[in-house]
Amino acid sequence: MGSPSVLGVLHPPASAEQSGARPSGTEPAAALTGEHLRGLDVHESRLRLRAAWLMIFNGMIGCFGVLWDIQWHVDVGRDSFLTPPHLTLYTASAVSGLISLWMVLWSTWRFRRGALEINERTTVQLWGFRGPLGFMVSGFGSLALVVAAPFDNYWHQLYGIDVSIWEPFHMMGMFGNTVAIFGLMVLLSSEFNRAVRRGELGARAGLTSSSVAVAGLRGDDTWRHPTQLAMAAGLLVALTATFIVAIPAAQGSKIVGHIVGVPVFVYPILLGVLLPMALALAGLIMRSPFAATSVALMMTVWRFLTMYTVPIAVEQLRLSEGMPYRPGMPYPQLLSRYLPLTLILGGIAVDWYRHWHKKRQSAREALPEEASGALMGLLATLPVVLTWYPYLNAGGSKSEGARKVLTSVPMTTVTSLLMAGLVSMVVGYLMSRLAHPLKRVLR
Amino acid sequence: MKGLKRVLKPVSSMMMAFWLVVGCSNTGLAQTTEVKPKLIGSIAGNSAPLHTETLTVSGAGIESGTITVGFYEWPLRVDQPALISVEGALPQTRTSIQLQPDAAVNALVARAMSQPDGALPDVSWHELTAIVQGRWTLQVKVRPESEASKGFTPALVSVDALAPVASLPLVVEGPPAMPRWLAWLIAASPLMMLAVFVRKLNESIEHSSSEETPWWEGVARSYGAYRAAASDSQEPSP
Repeated sequence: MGSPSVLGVLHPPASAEQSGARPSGTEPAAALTGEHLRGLDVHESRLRLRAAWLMIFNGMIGCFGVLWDIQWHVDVGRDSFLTPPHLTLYTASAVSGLISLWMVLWSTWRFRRGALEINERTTVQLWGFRGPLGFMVSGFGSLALVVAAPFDNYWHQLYGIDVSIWEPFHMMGMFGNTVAIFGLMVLLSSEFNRAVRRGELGARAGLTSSSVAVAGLRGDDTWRHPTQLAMAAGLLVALTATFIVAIPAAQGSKIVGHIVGVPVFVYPILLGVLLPMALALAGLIMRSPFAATSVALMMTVWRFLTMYTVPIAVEQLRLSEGMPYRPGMPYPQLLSRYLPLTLILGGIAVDWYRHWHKKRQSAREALPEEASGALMGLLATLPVVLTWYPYLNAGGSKSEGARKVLTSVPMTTVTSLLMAGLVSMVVGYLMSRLAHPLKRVLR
Repeated sequence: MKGLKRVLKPVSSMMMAFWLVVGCSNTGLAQTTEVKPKLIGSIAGNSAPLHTETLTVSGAGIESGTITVGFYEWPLRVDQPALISVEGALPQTRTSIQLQPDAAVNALVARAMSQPDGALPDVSWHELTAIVQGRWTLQVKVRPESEASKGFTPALVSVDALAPVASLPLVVEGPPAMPRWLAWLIAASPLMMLAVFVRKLNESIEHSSSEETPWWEGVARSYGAYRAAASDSQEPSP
């Protein structure tokens, strides 16, 4: 009786009584059966899922914008801030943010009107707003990405057009993107869990307890739920963003960095951080027995799409701007050429482990969830690092050069690989900790 | 197959819409190189330059002479379009300008949108923007005007490397530099917020653990109790 939703039941606003055929939380009190209210929940879920798909689509457009922008920088160089690649990137982020903002504002407004489906058990309250947590997080991430734009321009004004990807406001954009994708995962996880609670999915797929650490149950068809495909697509955005950071880092001038004074190759360590965030998380929160492999396969398809479209976009823009290529350019498909065919190996390794873990779990011999996460992080990273490492660290073009690097600094190579393995396990562990609330969230 | 179609249809529609937008924006860009520079039309003839420089031009095919370069924005500031007039006593020539970054400045050559003055035959107008602060060199190039180049339309003009050149070193001013620690503090703000959101997520989970029944069942029960209480209170007492 004390919750706002119940107050809404008891005092529905008069204007809402003329609502149409769609079930509405503010309909006359006589309609309030459990089944009717459940219908409201279903409708709300559909709405949120549609908004999530729009945001994923914008995420893909934004990733294309970044790929286009980096290739444009390398091949031509920019002579203004508002280039079409930048506009594509920032417009996509802004639209994503606006969708989130709209969903939060609309939820807040409906809550104040007494709409039953917006209540304390389907939304959270933050700073006076009420809405699904996923939209709040994702909206903030998009906002951070857009706010980073003028700061990024300011940094370029000071230090030049080719400042490294590691500069603060590039990283701010990447952090914002990470937060936005995290928000998307919260949203999709909560929608999956809500569907389970509504009884739309099999009982075995119910809110997973910590004892059911790894999904992919035999005979379980919960992976067919729409949230699962959306999760895969969302993680694909994460993976694209990963390679946006990782590939220039591997091919650029800053191949070798120092951690506590020890020289290391940046690329494998970076992959150790980023790959578990996509592939191990896929293995931990998605229901498909082929979750990580399917995300990796989607990435391969995306690779082929961008391989052919990004250079076309660069060439078209160059012609329309009347700008010349930089000396020695175009360097074809710089970003997409090396995109992750070997990633599929990492995906298969993660899925194979999940299958093995499931079998051991039934025999009560499985590793604890956190240890599984750490192992998945390692499995996601190692095949990619081991196969790409020599190729990319040599500049990605000549195997002879690769051998030269490997033989000239063997200690650095070993240190880097060990550190990458360690880092990937730590990140995998953190992902398992993150997966725990994601399997339960309902708001 | 049906499910695949259901996914592919909206995605392909959205991709088509995206490419349409990209295509249109590219066409638009192609047109922007042909339009009249916006500053030239608004300032030219209405005000005096804020700063002028006199340069000497000499070279093959050109009579030696001086030209006056007028700056309608002075000092030049980063990312601010600058209107520049070039006035010279060099008949039958065509003038173009560009800003060449010094070796320490990481930027491309800034090309100018150029346009001859409609009324004065020895005056031309140029608009350019430097996007990085630091030392640049303004290069004014003059070449004999051929029949083909007469009455040229405003466009982004690449300066002919063989033309006689007059150079003017100048400094493009930028905003004050932010300390690196402050830049990193701002840049890390999304991560700080991430901590807030993760805490909120965990709080939300803690609350969920005590919610065994779906929300709608609770609401329906409350409503049932309310109805029952309301009907009891409306029954006439015997």
